[in-house]
Amino acid sequence: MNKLFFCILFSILILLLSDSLSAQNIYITKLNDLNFGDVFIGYSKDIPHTDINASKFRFYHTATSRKIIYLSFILPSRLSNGLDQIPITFDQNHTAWSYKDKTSGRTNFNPYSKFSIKNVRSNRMVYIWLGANLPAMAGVSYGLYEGTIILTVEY
Amino acid sequence: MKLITVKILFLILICGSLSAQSRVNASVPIHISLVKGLSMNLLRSSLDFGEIIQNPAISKISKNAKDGILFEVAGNPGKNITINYSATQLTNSKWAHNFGSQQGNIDFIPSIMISSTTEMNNPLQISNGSVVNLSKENDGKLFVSIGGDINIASSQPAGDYLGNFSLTVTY
Repeated sequence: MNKLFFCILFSILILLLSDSLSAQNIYITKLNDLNFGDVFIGYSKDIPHTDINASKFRFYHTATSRKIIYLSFILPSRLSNGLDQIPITFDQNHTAWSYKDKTSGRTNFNPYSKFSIKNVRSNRMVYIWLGANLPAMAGVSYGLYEGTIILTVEY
Repeated sequence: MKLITVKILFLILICGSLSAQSRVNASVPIHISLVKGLSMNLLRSSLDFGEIIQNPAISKISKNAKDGILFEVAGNPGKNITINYSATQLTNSKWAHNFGSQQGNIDFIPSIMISSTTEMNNPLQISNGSVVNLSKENDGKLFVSIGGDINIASSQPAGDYLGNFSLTVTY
């Protein structure tokens, strides 16, 4: 009898742990860097989320059930060329997600707070776009300024 | 029996909470190439062929670019620029109108030189549409001088011939 119970218990454990035992069950792909290209010193530049140069991610999960997916970003406030720094701003108007890889029908969200997408079914693609604004800066040196955006997807 | 059931439920609860967690990070770089704008500063403004006395033996007058118009072009060190210009015609129409003389035109064939110094040391002749790199060693500065040739016909109407020459520099 005890053996039977342990067999049942073991089976349940395997089933329930299958998600957590697998090495990974959320898969993110970075599809595009956030690329401002050439910006003249003293001029501002805006990259909306619909711009081809906006950063773009795609993710899906392989959990067996629908999940509430939480998204959060770590965003730089300044970019550096090793000599000078320039500010960069992100906001809700420059950030969006959608189930479809289209410019229409996207939903904006605030990249500075944790955002949730409810009832995301297994293997369903979710797209994330992030643009930004570069205010006009005078008195800075020319060169390549860089920074990093970190996106965390979890459930 | 009861103890086993309790243990099973306990393990189910723990496993349920374990399986609910998953977290993945992805990073994306941001690139911005901050560029100095292009500027052109006129250092020497005129290309004057002087007074020419008509002589059937002389049909072509040349002016060395080193003695002609001189521009300083400043831009982003390391960037390429394209230099465009066009041939132009000089006309004596204003002079002819004032003095009731015959109107005429003279073709101006430009000759463009570039150098890294205002003295136009080691000049390099360029053609229309040439792509030139703004040297980092010279802090993105380039000097462009304009000279050229004019062809004078033996029956060329007399007068003061004037014309405008346009030079365009773009990234």
